[in-house]
Amino acid sequence: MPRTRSLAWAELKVGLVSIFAIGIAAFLIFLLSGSTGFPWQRYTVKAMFDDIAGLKTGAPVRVAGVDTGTVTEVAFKQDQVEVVMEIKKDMQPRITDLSVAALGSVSLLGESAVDITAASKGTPVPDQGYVKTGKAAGSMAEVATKAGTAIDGVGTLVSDLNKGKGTMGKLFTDEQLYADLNKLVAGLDEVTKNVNKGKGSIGRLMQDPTLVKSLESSLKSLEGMTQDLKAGKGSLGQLLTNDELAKSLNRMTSNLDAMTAKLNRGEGTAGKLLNDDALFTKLDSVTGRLDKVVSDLQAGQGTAGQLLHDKQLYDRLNSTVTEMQGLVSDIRKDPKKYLNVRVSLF
Amino acid sequence: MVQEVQEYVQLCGTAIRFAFSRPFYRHDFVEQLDSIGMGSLTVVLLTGFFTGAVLALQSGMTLDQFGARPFVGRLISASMIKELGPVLTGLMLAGRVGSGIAAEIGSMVVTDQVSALRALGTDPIRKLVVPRILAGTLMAPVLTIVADTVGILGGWLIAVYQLRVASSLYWKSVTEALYIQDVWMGLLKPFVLGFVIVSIGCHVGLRTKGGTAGVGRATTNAVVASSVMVIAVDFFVTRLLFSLIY
Amino acid sequence: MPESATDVRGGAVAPVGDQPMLVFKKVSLAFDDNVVLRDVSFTLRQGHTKLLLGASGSGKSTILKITLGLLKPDAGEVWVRGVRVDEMTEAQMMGVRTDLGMVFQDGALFDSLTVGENVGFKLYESTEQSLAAVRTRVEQVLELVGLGEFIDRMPAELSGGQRRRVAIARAMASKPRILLYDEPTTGLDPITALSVDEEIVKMRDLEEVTSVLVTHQLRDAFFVTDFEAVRGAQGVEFREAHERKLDEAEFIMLKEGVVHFEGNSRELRASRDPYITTFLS
Repeated sequence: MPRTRSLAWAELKVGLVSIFAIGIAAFLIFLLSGSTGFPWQRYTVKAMFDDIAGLKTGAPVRVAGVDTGTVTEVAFKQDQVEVVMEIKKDMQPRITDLSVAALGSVSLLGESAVDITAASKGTPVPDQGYVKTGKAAGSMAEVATKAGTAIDGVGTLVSDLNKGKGTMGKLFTDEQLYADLNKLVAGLDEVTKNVNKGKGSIGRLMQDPTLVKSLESSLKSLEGMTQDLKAGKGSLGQLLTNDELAKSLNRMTSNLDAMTAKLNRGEGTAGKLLNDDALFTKLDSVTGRLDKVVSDLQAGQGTAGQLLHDKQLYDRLNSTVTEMQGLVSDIRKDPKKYLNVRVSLF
Repeated sequence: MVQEVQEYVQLCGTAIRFAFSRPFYRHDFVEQLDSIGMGSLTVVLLTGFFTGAVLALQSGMTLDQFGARPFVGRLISASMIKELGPVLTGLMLAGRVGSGIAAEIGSMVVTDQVSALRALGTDPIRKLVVPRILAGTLMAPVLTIVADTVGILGGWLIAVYQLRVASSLYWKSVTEALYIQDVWMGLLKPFVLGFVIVSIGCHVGLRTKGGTAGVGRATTNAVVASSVMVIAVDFFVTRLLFSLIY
Repeated sequence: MPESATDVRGGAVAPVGDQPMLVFKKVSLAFDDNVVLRDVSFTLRQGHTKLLLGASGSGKSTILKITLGLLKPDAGEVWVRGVRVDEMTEAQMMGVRTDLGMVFQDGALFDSLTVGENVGFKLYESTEQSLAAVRTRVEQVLELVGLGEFIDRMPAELSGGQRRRVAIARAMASKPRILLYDEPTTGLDPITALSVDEEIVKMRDLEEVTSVLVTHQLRDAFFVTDFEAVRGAQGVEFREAHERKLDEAEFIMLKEGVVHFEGNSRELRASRDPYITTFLS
């Protein structure tokens, strides 16, 4: 490219793209360092720990769970470890002499962080000042401590047991109890032996062969019976096995069903009888009248009643009937006497 | 082989020394900035964009298995900025710039133009090599940043329109997985890679022999050597930076 | 000859009378097993011409490169204008090169620059002169080789012969004392070759340049030795060189890296050496 041609356009293009790129890079850097701020926006805070459990420089420092800084240095001071942290300046009012710094975890994998409780009520810790240390809740370390305490408790318990304290302890340590248990076991042993040998009723039960045999035979007949039943022998068997019977029973039941249905619906006399209200009312009234008639009769009202009650009438009737009877027998004896049949045409 | 490496190192050393002494050919330097930087801009834009997009596409499926689809933003920004941006830009530059420089300088060697330069009292290293190396070293990070940006943009497009991730969620998660050291690494690496690519191109070009066939060979060698070195140097620089800044 | 390796800009002091412009003393050079030059020695005085003849690969171009410092000899001494150059560093050579100009085979023009920028290259780089002054000089030199109107063209637009002439102009632009020509007419048609030869003669005679000419084109070599240029009424004229002039042009024939013959054109023509006669036929 000839040198005499102007470089202005080339320079401009390069400059623009470079500025654009630098701008983006700067923006990204700014974004990322935003959570912890630029160096002039941070101040230093320290804490002493007995055990930092693998805390590394660069680990996050959180105040009330919010990422606000990083650990910049970890150094020994005699047997304790001093952790130096840089935190955003605007956190200063919250990190006070009432705040507690503890080791927390970032993830379940246990990557360590420093958690500082926010306590605005106290006086702020100055730059390069110390924050109190303590235990944090819910961290891996905390769980480990709790587990430790639990194990200690179990240890005490075991030693107590060993020493014979408490019932369980006694169970473990008492010689006398052991001897008693032994005897008990021995006794039980005896009993079982006796039972085995056939002594005593239970023993006999256990030992007697005939009993066993009869039990066996009963079982056998029961078995036989069940088999017969299965094979359809006997009425019960039939009942159990006969299809036909079952079918007819079925039919019968279905008929009954139908009949009852009919009855229900008021079909047929019986049905009607069952259902028809009018009929019922009629019958009711008839029976009512009959009732009345009977009662009248009984009261001797009406001819029939008279007939029913009057003794004289009965006596007369009786004698009439007797005379009639005599008459009939006379006629029989000599019919010509009484019957002359004249046939006349007009 | 050993001699070649020695000559290469000598060339690099000489070039670095000359960069800070007179005469400095500013005109050629700016020309090269334009040629290397702006010339490669299109390539880098396309490469970066499609890389980001395909990364989002592929990882979307895998992330789904972990119910982690919203994490796609983190994944793309972390991979582009830390590794893919610098390396892919480096490879594209190796192909375009490395071959171009080797061919240009190579053909100047076989037509005696380099000797003519020396005969006319101009040091070819000052005139040809230094401007190119400086331009390459400075433009590579710029181009890498461009590649990163369009890569993340490409990933955004796919994430929003294909994976149905909320736009604001994507942009927020872009910065979540990044440490500040990642950004430094993503900016320092291209410097080294740019230097390697251009210096190899110049070295191979200056050693061209044998007419036009030689120029062809030189071009091929330059591309192959600088591509391989980009990948190898990337590893070593990453390793080094890990122990230095993390 | 004084040891003045620290005297980088040998051109500051004008040479006194007969001080040679270029001296080669038993210079040897070999590439691996290939011996290119063996014990080559010659002396070149100011205003004179050295014509290096020989078959291809006989080491002619190598002598030029050694003179310029592009190659370093394995043995021997090289003196340019009273300054020993064979052990100089590249940086030191830059100073020596201000007095040397080289015309490469095929011209070796910078194809990304225009003709004008090519010719004025050295002057533009030196930044001592204003752009306008450089441009004037460029125009002047291009006029000298007859290519004034090509000043803003690109080398690719020029023919082979024109490129050679531009290369000569470029070498001349900074007014060096010694011009080295590397096969300037090889591959050109006779007419174009003649025009190049004329330029060489003009440079030598009108600009008082000391020349080293490497060629295997005898016709052109004899033209350079047998003719001279003078400014006439109608511009530059070429006429046959007078006797004394002939002595100022010396042939060196190289055969397999060794000086086989040294003498002026008459002596060359008269030689009975079989190699030479074959060469000349």
